[in-house]
Formats: sequence, structure tokens, C-alpha cells
Amino acid sequence: MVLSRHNIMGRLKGSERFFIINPLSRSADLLEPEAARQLAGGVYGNLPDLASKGYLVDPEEEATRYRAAYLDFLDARDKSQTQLFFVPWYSCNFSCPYCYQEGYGNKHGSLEDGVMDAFFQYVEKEFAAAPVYLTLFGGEPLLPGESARRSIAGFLDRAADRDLGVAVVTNGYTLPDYLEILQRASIREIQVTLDGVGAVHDRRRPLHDGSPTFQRVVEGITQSLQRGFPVNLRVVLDKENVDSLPELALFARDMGWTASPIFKTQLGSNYELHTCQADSGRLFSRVELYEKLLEMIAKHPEILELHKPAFSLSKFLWENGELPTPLFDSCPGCKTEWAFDFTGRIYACTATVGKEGEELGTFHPLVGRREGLIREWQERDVTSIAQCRDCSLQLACGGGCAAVARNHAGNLRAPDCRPVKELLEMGMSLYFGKEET
Amino acid sequence: MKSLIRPKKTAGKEVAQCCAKISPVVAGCHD
Repeated sequence: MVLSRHNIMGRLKGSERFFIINPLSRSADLLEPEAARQLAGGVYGNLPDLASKGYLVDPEEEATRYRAAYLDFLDARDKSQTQLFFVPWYSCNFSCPYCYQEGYGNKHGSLEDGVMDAFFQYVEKEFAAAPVYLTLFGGEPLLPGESARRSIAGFLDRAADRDLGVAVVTNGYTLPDYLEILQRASIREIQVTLDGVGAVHDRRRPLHDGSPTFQRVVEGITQSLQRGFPVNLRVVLDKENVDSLPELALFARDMGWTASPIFKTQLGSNYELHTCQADSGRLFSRVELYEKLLEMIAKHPEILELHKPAFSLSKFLWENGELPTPLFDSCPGCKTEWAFDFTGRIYACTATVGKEGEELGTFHPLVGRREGLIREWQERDVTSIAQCRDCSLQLACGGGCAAVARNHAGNLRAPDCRPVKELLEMGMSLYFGKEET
Repeated sequence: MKSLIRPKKTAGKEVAQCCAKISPVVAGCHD
């Protein structure tokens, strides 16, 4: 018997206690320092249950369990819903300095009915057997003006005719004007971004002419919740606005948003996806961002009312009392996610949609797929990325984002490593720091 | 050594997890 290659051991940040987690056997334990020392030194005698918990294994048996878990993962993914993004245009009424689509071509153009019809025909044919839902994406899909409203209404009517649920990713500025139209379809979720309260948000997410947007976005969120539309509030963080997060948490509480069962949040980081940003000094690395969040949560626990950060597997373990199933692949591109745009092109995901050279095919005017490229996306997971194979973190990390990996390494079969151990050390401290051992 | 895995108890929790799984994550997987 040997230690499992999937054991992840670390120390709770700011504590003398340790943890051991095994994403394959789905075991998780807190360890006193002496036990951690024994394990690290290869002394197992005094520690009970190491084998039954999968920390100590027969390598061949573990390889069999790994293969079985991989097949279960593929099976579950085959049965899960596929998210189809649709970009009606890349135009946007905002001028956010950190926009990752800045510099894309195709900024101008409008959605023709024929393209929309071709999209729905493609969905009906190619995804006939799969449960799917649609997500309107941009640019900004809810642009002001009658022409945009007519196009979006046409899209929603076509979705409703086919009983397809729709999510919307919007900057939220025109939401109040679109709520009536959105009721034409079954709206699963509206994602809106607020980067802070008042001037903090306005500085980062102004209209093209520099006008503020905060008040309109806030009205949009409140009215969406009143209509029963689930809202997913996204906050994009970097060094410029992170200190205003406690203020945003209190604002969301005062607005009554955080008390709503249909309100949820996500913290996004501002990062360099395809191109360098003018002021890259303000960007956080993943570890830096979460270190900052942990530090801020200690001083401002109200942040947790707005958002409980995942810290890799930590939050899931704390909320569910179990670990999630092993993550053999964290990239949904060409598997449970596709993206389509108004020019008739097909892409893998939101990170690549609209970027020149990333097209994987067309659905209009002719249907064509670059099957070789699509297969590359579909075959990418921790079993096919060489650097992942011997990594003990692979089943918690899942290999990261394929688009980011390729930007760095030049090919898809490269990892976009997540700092799993560091995140666990922080998250286990936050969520389990008060547990008795 | 203290396990952090809780014994499974109610059917209610299973339903809750199932619901959580179908809740969409709109964008952001490359964060």
C-alpha cells in the first residue's frame, strides 16, 4: 500500500492544523500537526482508516477506480444540459476599459431574421437529443433602440416556440426597458455586472460618452427580481475596486437583494484573456485575489452575505458535507457549451466567440464544421493533457480554461493550472477553521 | 484525524443538490 497520488495535503492558513483531501475517494479530514508529520514522513501505523478513506491505496486498485470515475464523469456530462450562447451583435453601449472583446472586428452589424432562423434550425437538428438552453450574449444583447428590441423579441419568440429556456448576460443598463419583452420566454437567469457602488462602478463601466450607469443598473436588478427573474450579479474585481466590496455587500443587503432566493452572485477577476491590458499592474493573480478576499472577509464578514467564495473545493465541502464528483475536465467548450454569432459562425465558448481565427464552423449561410478542430476541444481533459496526468491536483482543477491554456502554450493540450492547494489552504481555514479536530 | 464528510441523511438534500446542478453558470468559467 502506498499514499494515493490524488492526496492533497496542506495547512489551514494561519493555523497549525492540516487537512488531507482526496478528490478521487472523496474523503476529507482535518489533521493535528503530529498526524500530518507522520503521514508526510510515511508513518501510517497510528492513523486509522487511511485505507478505507482512500488515502492509502493499492496503485492498481486506484487506477481501476480512476477509470470507473472517468466513465461516470463522461456519462454524467452526456446527460447534463448544454448551454448555447448566441451573440446578436458585438456592439455595446458601455466603454469598460478592461473589456476583453476590445479590438475584436465585427463590432458593427445587425441580426437578420434569416440568420436567426438558421440558428434555430441548427439547434433543432444538431442538439435534438440533448437538453439545451440558450444564453444571449454580446457585446451587449439588450441594446437601446427599437431595432434591437425587435430582434431580441424575435429571438425570444423563437425560443418560446421551441420551449427553450433563455439566460441573458447583460450590463443591465436597459433592463427596465426590456423586462416586458423578456417575459415572452422562459427566463432562467439574467447576469448583470456591478463593479461597486456609485462612482466606483461608474468609473469602470461608463457609457461611451462617459455618462454614469450605476443607478440604471441597480433599477434593472431590482425590477428583474420583482418580476421573478433570477439575477446572477457578477462583480469584476481588480486592485482598483476590491476595497469597495464591503460597501457593495452592504448595499446589496440594504436593497433587499441578498435576502431574495432568486439572487445569486459571482466574483470575476479582471485578467488578460487574449491581449495585454493597458494597466496590467492593477490585475490580481488568482492567489492574490483570494488572499485579499480572505483578509477582507476577516474584517468585513458581511462580504459573505453577498458572496461565499468557493476556494476550490472548500465551500462545496462545507455546504454539502461531501466532496463533489472528481472533475476530469473544467472546460465546457464544445462539450456542454457552444457559442454562435450573428455572422453565422460557430465557436467553442464565450472566451473565443467573435475572435478572428477561432471559428469552428458555420451555421449560415451554409452548415459546415471543422471536425478536426472540434475534436481537439472535445478530447481535451486531464487524461489527455500530459502535465495533468501526474498532478495530484488534477481532479480538483480539471485542467482549467482551454482558451487561456492555448494563449499561453500555443496549443489546447496544455493546462491552465489553478492554484488548488493555496486556495484550499485559505478556504479550509475560512470554512473549517473553528472545527475541533 | 477528523472526517469532514457528513453522513447522508434526508432525501430533501438530494433534491436540493440536483436543483443546484441544473442552475446555469452564465459565463465566467475562464475567470
